[in-house]
Amino acid sequence: MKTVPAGFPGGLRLQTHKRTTSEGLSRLVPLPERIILPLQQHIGLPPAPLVKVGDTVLKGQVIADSEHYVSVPLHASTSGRVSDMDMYPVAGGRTLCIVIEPDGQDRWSDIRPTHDYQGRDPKVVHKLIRACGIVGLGGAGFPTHVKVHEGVENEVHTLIINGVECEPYITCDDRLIREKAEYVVAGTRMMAHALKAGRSIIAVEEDMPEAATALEQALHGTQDIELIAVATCYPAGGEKQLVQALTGREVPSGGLAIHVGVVVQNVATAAATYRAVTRGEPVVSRYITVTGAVSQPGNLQVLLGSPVGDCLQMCDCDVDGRVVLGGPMMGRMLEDTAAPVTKTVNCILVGSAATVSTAEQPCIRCGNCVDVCPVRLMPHELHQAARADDLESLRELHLFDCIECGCCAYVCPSHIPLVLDYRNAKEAIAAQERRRVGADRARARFEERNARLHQQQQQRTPVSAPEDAAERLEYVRQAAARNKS
Amino acid sequence: MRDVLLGLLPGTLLACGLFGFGLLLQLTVAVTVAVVSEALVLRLQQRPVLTTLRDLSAVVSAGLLALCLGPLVPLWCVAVGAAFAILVVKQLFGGLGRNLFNPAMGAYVFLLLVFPAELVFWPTAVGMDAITAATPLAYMQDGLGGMATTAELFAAPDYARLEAYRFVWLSLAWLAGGVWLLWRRTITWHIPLAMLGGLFLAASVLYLYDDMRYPAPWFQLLMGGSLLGAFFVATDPVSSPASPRGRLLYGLLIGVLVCGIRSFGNYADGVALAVLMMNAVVPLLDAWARPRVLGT
Repeated sequence: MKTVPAGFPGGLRLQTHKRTTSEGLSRLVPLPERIILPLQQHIGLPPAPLVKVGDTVLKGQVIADSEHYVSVPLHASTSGRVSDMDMYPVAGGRTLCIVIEPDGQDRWSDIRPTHDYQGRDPKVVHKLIRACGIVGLGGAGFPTHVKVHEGVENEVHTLIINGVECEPYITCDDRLIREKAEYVVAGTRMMAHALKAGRSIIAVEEDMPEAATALEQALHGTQDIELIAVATCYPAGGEKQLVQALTGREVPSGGLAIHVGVVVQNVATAAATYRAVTRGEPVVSRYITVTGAVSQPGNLQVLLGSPVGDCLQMCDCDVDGRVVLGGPMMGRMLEDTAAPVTKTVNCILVGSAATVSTAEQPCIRCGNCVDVCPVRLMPHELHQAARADDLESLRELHLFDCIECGCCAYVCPSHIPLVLDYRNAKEAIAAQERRRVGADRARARFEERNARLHQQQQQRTPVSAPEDAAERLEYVRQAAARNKS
Repeated sequence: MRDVLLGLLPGTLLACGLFGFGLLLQLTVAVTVAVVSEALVLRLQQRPVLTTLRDLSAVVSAGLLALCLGPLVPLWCVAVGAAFAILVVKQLFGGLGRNLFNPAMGAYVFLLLVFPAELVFWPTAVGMDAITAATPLAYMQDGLGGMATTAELFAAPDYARLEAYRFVWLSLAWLAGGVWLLWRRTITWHIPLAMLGGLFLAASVLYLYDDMRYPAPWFQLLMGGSLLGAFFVATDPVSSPASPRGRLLYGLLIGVLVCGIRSFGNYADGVALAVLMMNAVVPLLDAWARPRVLGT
């Protein structure tokens, strides 16, 4: 197996805290009392519900779908009755969810395998990926069929399967590889077939030797897939960083990996593709890591829509601290543990109640953030511009190239929550953009209307008073009646 | 900031041994005045006083100012300087993180302009009957200005009376503190190396051009405030560039300016002036040296 250096500027060598969860077998979370499935679990448009409250559904049945290109269908993750359809708390707010009361039987709908995919048109696998609701399971949640479609259109040459789980504490990909290496390898081949990619790479982190061994065994000495270990350095698992480490090419600013001929997919996404092809199984469950201040940290296989609280209970945790979805670097705070596990949740990290954040102090321009930024931004200048609401400067300073890895905030001696500033600034710019688009539309509508009125005025034939006196009187009467009413 | 104070410790103790314990008095006065000034401003601005003072930035500024001033500078002069550093150079610009200029150097130059006579002399020996004399750099500048050659000046009995080796020891103590700061990663190597390199290069060029009129590079590096400046003053994060390339250019130009001021200017030790000059162009340097964002 080849080992390559991280290859991007900056980055951090962090304490990984992975051994506490990476060694134990993953456990199955029992059926919860209710399954809460948000319609929006991916980047793009949410699908529209296809079921009503009171309907019975089977496991794997499509319960919401969309015609839109950047959207995927949603499947019931167990069999039961649709008991509600309403706004429920999820990470970062509330969203429309379909709630299913499980009947306890966990009965599958009619799903069928696709035999001999290699002999078929790549489009078959491609369509299957969408039909099975597969999105980037590493955390981004970008619909996989879009990546595949764009990849084929743009003639990508390399498929990278990303097992570089660089964020501390998280081991769900490591565990998945160790337990399901065959799935990952076979799924990689299926994706490569769908993409018509010439080169396939499965990348893991250097400190995941067991996972690498499992993959090597699953490969049985075949040479069609390269197995490469990337030096342990956060954020080596970022899409753009990984492309740089493995191919030496920089993804252009504002562009995608596709623009340098590469498609990157998470290992769990590859395993999901394998399930979709060999069984016709949609994405209804996933691996997650539960760790931090819990008595029995470990990895869980959990049905999508299960409440976070159930997963915590499995690990013997009375929540008295902060709950974060995702890792310590990029995760987001979760207010309500009733929120469900979705396709993009890879880790539940529980902070101890004793953790106190140190008060923010002014920026002293020490430049530590500049040294660690993997994109070579000037984080302290972004911070300054963000606090001054200087959206123009933020654009010029390449705010939108920030991958929110959190390295800058981690090294900041003044404890400034830099990433929070950037997220807020990005939202402010997006809102400004929406307002601008809205204003443009309104202006266009207004101008259109004026033009229309003008035209109507031009076209209107001048009305001359009727010759007949009785008729004229009738006009006046009608006008008076109109006025009265 | 605590690391910076610890880094200053060996040099401070040595300076006390070499030039007398009056320095401790000066340090006390400077720090007290600076902290009181800072507390006053924070109070007026209705900002938290104690938590802000705990960042120790006022102590560092005051300490550096006291260390730059000679041991014979009167205490009232030290007090005025410390107040100026905090009230004018730091807080008038918005406080920690927003001051364009290094507070200690701003105050030093202020004193240099307003009370030039008080700042010139250093003691030659410890004791009640200390005799005053110039620093080796000032002695050299005066002598060269008076048409003597470097060789004559080194051979003169006045030079021996300066006990110049003390300044070398002091420089080495600052260097030790600087290495500690590097090891602690409080500072990066860019600015000190670039500044000392710039000074060495510029001094070498002049020395090779005419070694009778320009002292050797080692003299420039070890006889004045070069090392204190390189490790503790120019590395002040607030008033220096944040990008690695910017830091290199900043340090290099300070080094060259120091040599230029010493060789062609009126001030014996140009570190403070050079640092202030470069402080003024930091925004330009940062704009020029902005790293290329990945993928652009």
